[in-house]
Amino acid sequence: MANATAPAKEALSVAAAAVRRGVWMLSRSFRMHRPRGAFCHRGWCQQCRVTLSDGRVVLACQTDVATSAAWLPPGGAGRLAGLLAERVPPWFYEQRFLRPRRLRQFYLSWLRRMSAAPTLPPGAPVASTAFENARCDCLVVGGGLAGLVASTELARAGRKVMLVEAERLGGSALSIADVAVRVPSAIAAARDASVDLREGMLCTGLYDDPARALCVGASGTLVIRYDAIIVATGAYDCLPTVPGSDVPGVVGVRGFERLVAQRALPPGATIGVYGHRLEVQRAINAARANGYAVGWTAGPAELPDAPTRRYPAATLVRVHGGHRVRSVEIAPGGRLPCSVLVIALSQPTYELQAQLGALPRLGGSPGVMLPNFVAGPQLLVVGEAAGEYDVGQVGTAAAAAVRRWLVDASADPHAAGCGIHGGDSFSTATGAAPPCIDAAPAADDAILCLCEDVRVRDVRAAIADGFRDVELIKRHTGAATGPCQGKLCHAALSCCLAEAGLEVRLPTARPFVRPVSLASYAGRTDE
Amino acid sequence: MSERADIVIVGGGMFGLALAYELGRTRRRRIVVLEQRFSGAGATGRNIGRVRTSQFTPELAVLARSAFAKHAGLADELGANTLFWRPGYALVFYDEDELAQIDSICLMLEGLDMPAEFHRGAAVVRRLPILEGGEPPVGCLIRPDAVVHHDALLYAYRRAIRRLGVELREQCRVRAILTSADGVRGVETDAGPIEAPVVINATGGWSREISALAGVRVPNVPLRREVVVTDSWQPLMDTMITFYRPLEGWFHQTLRGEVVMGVVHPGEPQGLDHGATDAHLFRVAHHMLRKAPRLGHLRVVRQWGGVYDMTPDRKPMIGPMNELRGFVQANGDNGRGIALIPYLAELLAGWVDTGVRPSPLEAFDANRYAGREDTPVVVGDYYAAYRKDAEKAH
Repeated sequence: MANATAPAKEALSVAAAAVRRGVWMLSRSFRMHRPRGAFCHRGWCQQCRVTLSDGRVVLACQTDVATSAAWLPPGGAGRLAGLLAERVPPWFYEQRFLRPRRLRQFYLSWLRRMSAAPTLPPGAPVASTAFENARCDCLVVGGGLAGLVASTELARAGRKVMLVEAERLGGSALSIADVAVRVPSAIAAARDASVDLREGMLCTGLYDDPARALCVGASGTLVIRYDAIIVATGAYDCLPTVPGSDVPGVVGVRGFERLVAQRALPPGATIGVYGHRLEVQRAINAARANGYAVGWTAGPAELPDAPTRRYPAATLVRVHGGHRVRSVEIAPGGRLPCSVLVIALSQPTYELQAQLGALPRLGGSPGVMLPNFVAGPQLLVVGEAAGEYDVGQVGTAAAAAVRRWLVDASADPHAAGCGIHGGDSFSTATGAAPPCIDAAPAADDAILCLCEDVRVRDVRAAIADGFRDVELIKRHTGAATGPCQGKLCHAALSCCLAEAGLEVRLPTARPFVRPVSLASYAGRTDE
Repeated sequence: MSERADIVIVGGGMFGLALAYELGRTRRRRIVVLEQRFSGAGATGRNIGRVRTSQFTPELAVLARSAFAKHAGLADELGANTLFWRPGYALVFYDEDELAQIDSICLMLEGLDMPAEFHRGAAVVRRLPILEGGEPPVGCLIRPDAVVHHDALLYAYRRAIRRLGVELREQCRVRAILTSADGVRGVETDAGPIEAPVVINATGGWSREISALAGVRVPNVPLRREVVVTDSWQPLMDTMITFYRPLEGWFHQTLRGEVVMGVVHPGEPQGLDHGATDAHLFRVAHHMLRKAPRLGHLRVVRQWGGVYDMTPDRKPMIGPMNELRGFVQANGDNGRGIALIPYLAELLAGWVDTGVRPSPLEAFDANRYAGREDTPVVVGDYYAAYRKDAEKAH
């Protein structure tokens, strides 16, 4: 009986299958050709793009190894260009490639072949032909426990509710053993309450006039008009800005949960966990539930009691390694052996809120963007996205938030389902501070933007050179313009602004939350 | 005592900075550039940097040729790489009816000593392999045109004006333009007034608003254009492509490897709107897959909108206004801003200094709508409107 209700084991992804063979490096970085591997294992960090033997270019962490062609390991041919690129800032061309004049065109044609970008597959892709318009009272984005419970609560109150989930219903809860068992009943309850559940639908952007969400999935494009929206998109793993943070084998705690749930760690791997107490506990639980043991834990503050070597009040200094992590340096503590470094820090997702005009701000301690939902009606944020980090509480807290929201809405007859919650009272249900990083000033040679290979010193140099607005820094350095759209670097970028005494804000939030192929959007032809 | 300057330039985009550079290098004087947000926040930072010479009328073609020459020499002039690159520019046609028209444009360009390649039928796809598998084109016209990186160019100007001692003040909004019976006296900003005998309106999409602050009426209207950009790939095409049927659209790959693309909606409402729409995304996906199916593999990363500053005759508005001494227009880009601005700025700086209108600017004199400021801007089919102009010219 227990087996019948337990969710299916997670399918093995191309990225996880490689890790199982001890291969962490999946791709090379855009400008410097540095080894890269999956950090998030959840499809947003964009560091694991691989070319398959059939020519397709895919995210290794989002591709099922059982049904896809083999992937081609990246060559090392570009590394020489990369070593040159490591020595120059992203705006290296500004004073160069001008002499002799007649070779300028040649330089440019040659330069554009120097990146590690993939090659366009031959032939046309299969274009999406399905397009659907939908209408609901309330749209819930994110089908984890918080989203499922919130949608059920709303539907029971008589609202017409739709829920879109980018991956499988259950979301990140599926990789947490003792929470995953609650997913099937949460899905069943949502179905019973007539929530329109859409699995495999990624909400990539929000538009106004009228308020609508653009969602895309393997089955086509879906545009949903809504009166109110609940954001339940969880949290991102946070990457600290230290030298070597981009070495393959550095993974976020949510990515780690998925890796161990897929039993993907090679035998004998030394697992090191660095971060905040709550999230370190999560990593320990995940390892234990899947038969792995954590080698050591470290963090800037206190750490959970666990039978590991513990380094409380220690700062992460550097990650050593090339194609994979070899060791990790913390202070105090020195150099620790490590083959998988789990970063147990996170930040709430904020893109959809930011697209609605609710700008996140830099958290109490540097390094994390906190949601600041003070703009726009018709928005409720629940679950990890609202700072509810206690996975045991996430469902009940979401239900309570929805009930309060409904009461507020009925108090104001003009506001159909309006309300803003979360506000400045950002904290977990237990009142603990959010699991964010107490970072020392970032090291100059740390890579801040992994997508475009921008270092902390590049951003500092740009600021010193008079580029004193986040938009200008972004354009001049390229930071936050790559495929991950700033998810890995917004917080670090904000820290650089803060340390220079500049206004801390994010670049304008625009669609899309994640890159999706142009062919997926080709379904609508009626215009 | 209030602050004084010799020239105040309103607008810290490409036109403002280019003007500051041209004015600053001819004579030592105090120039202040005021920008309400950050330099390049408007059309300058939202365009795709094409420097196109294959224009449809002789007048614009001649101007574009000179502007192209200015661009080609800018890196040497400014001492910085503007990433001026010549992948070529192709107009691709899908309608047999258009061929005669293209023939005449080809002849016109040849007459101006601006020869273009002209291909028909299957030769088009051989020349532009990215169109393989798409709707078969009937012909194409290719000029060895260039693209610049708008930010590289802007930052080159930024450094150049800093060397010249020009002050660029960002996050500084102009609230009023101060006038007297004699003409312009200066501007009132968030941070206080600045007295100046010359105020230049280089605000692109905001040109109508700024003119209104000075009590000057102009026919300019902003019109949104949207862009979709993909992630980076190895070189997959060289020649930049524009097509007109069934809708006007364009795409090319940047040096960084991203592909920028857009398809114009003929019914786009006029107004200052920088938003991006899902409708544009769908339009782009639909039309790009029809024209160049392989582009479907590219992943869409970002979308944004920018505005053209449109005028009824689709020509720039340049020069001192007769009705208000010292108030100078430098706007009305009509979507050709990046291509023309370095050259227009050079000419206009000469005009401001000497008071003599340079002959290439005759057709663009900002006073040409005096008494007809209400002339509507009819956009509709942008390309068809040009064809009518071209027919008149022949």
